[in-house]
Amino acid sequence: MLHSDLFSELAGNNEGYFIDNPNDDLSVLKALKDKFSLNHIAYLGINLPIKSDSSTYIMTTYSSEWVERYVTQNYVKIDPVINYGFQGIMPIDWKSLPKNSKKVVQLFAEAKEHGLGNQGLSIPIRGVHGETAMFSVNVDMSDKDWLHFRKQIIRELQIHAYNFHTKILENNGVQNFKKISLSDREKECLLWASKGKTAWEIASILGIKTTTVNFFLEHSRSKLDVLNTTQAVAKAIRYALI
Amino acid sequence: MLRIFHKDETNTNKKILNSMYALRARVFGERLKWQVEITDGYEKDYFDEIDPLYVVYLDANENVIATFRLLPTTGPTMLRDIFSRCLPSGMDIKSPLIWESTRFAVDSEFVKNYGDNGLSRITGEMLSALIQIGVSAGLTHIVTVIDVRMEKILLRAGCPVDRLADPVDYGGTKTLAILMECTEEWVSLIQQKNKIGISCVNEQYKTLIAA
Repeated sequence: MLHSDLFSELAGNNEGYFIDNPNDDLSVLKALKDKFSLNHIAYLGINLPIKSDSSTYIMTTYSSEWVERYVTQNYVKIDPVINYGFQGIMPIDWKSLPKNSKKVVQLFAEAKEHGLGNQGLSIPIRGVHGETAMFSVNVDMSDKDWLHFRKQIIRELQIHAYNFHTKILENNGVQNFKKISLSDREKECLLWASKGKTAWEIASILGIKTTTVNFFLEHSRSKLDVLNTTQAVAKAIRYALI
Repeated sequence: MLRIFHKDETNTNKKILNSMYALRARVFGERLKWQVEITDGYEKDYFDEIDPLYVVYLDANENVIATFRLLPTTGPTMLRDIFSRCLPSGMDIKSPLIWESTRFAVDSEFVKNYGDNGLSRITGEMLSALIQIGVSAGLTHIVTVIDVRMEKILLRAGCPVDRLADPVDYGGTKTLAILMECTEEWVSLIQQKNKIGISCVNEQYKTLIAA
């Protein structure tokens, strides 16, 4: 989607925002916010394959005052996160965004007043239906701590961002994939296998017999409906099972 | 010099994009004789329209001499839509932690200096960048569909290569899908093996994520 389409969609349609706050989805965001001790989380979906009055779907822990301010001030037009995020796929550190205009500086200052953190990371999401979304988190932290924290959480955030997106679609009747569950031992074995460990090595690490490891690996292969362990690892990762 | 970018409205990278499409036409159409569609000397496909992340290597005149592109496997991929026979039946790669790399090409005309492993320094830099981008984005793997010729290059360059299945025939080319693990250890291994510095790559990430 080109920027101009996105802008006209978001900016020209102040009345038509679809701000959905069913407690269920919002509680997921709140739980994630607490888990990572974040200030806030925001999800913004564009062109989701669901029935709604608008092609923009917003779910956020932000105060309603801030959301209203953002919408009425048309900040979507100048917000560099929107500007850079919707065509890219790399996670965006808010620090690296150009803040060269007065308006953008003002946007970030106001955001801070409304409780957003001084550090932020936005993860672009792409879906098979051609939809795009952005999952943003922010937190108050020194630059030094942030660098470490970001590195620590980025992989988990990628999974949460995509799972949340999938959940929004599922809750709106879009089927994605069937549920598969693995036992803890199966997960452990696959996890070590994904790090290139042999069955013998995994057995030593976990303090169990090699034959037992092979059993768990075989079992997870059959659950995942694949032929070898490499495929099992790939599939388990894809379904965010390990 | 390495450059990482995606298309934007202002067309700031138009010259580079066209130079990249032309390189792909020369490499995939003329040299490797793949069945790709070439229009006016440019090789472009559907996946260029859905905003991939491009990585290119530029010479002093900003001509593209090496390239690849990346797309998340949660969206449309070549593996799923075109090369699905490269996967065991019923399998699909779709994960927020796996991106697909496609259209990896190096212009042999421009690359004259080869290292001990018979590969150019530029090939090494591109592959190191590939894994490093994966690490920066928090990915576990890059998935890519390649021919057996490319698999040999990847192995010589010290890349992590994990076959998803044995090669199958696509238009006379032995084609296979592989996973490449993304860790900092693999990045430094590739950099050591290809004798490339770390600084040349790092600078570029600042525009995307201050990695």
